[in-house]
Amino acid sequence: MKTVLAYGDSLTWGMNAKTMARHAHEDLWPTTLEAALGGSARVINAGLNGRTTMFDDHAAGYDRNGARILPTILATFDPLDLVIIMLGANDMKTFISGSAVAAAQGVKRLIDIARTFPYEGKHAAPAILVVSPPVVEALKPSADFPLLSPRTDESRDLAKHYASVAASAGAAFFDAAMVATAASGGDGVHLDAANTRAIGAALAPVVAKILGVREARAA
Amino acid sequence: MKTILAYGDSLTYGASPIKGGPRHVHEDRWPTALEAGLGGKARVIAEGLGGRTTAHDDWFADADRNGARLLPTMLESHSPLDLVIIMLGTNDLKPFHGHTASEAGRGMARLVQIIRGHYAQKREPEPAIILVAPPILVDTDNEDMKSHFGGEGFYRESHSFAREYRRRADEHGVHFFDAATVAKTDPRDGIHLDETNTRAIGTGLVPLVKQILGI
Repeated sequence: MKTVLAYGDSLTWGMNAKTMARHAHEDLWPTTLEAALGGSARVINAGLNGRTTMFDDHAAGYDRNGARILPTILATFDPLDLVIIMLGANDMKTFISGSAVAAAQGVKRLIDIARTFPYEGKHAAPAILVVSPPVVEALKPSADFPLLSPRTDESRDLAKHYASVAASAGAAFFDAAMVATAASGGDGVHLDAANTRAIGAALAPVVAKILGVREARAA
Repeated sequence: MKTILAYGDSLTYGASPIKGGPRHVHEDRWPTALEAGLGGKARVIAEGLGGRTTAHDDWFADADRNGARLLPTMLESHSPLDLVIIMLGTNDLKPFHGHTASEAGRGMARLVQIIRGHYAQKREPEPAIILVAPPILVDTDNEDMKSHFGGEGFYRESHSFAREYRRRADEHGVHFFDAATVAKTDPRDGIHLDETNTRAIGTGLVPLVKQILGI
């Protein structure tokens, strides 16, 4: 049995922007990924609303800095075979960085942390899969929830920069924007249930190959 | 389907009492045994971190062992939650931390405050809470572990976990369970549990958890 860590933000936690509540467990992409792997791996959902790659955000009463928390998460779930990192959407907030290049630097930092963490025992560091998040759609200015600047189209550049960072670090890469869109999510950032599930389904063959396990037969 | 967070230290992680031994397998960890005992009516999420304290900093590890600092992030990550089970305090006995079961009890009370504050801020219903007194430490030939935890003088403190935690649980109107009534520490290191005793905590919690969640 392999163990996979899904390290992400609200897109991994499963925020439904239309209800401001969590999607059902069965609709979360770590759950659909686990199901598609047919019992050969457990996928741990470590999603946190607002988590960034490596930036502080004190707008919430919990720690959103992905780089600060990652070592603690690695120690908690060690031994791990694979760490999937899907972060960056929150980095697009203008008060965080609003820069795809900066988010890619954050992902690079997370790869370094996962690679060099002093794991107990003598096992190797887990494999790493960098996932570029779905594109943040042009937002209507919203008084209630001004998540991102409607001026920026920056998130379209995440895939390019993440692919480059992953390649130079020897980590695997997948672009979730190829399979999931935020257009139907309600707020331009979050995903509906179908698009959330789609990420897990699309990741299954990639993850199966990395882990050397078989996918479940197509349902 | 109910969701339960098991917030703990190496006893929840499932660390081996054998020096350098591997983590207990998934099926032998107490959150897994608890989930199995609840017959598909609840998911139990294990957040066990080796060395975690109730509320003390400890920079001996490349992880944040301060249970109070991390708790809001863990709550947010796994919400919505129906129940939070906290089993911490063993590491608080280390000489460089709080030393006493009484201080650990105060740390547990702080964690209750944090949970209530977190959900009050979000205007969401708060989960039920169980404070679990950890098993009693026992003497060992493992000198390394013995000195790390302060030797027999500090071990005696672990007999007071149940009294102190029950008092805090009553004060704050939360539930209490004494894991020492169902699990014995492994004398190979005096701190950790073998597989059977680890599972026993999960099994032992089943009736109380069923009662609290009405399942």
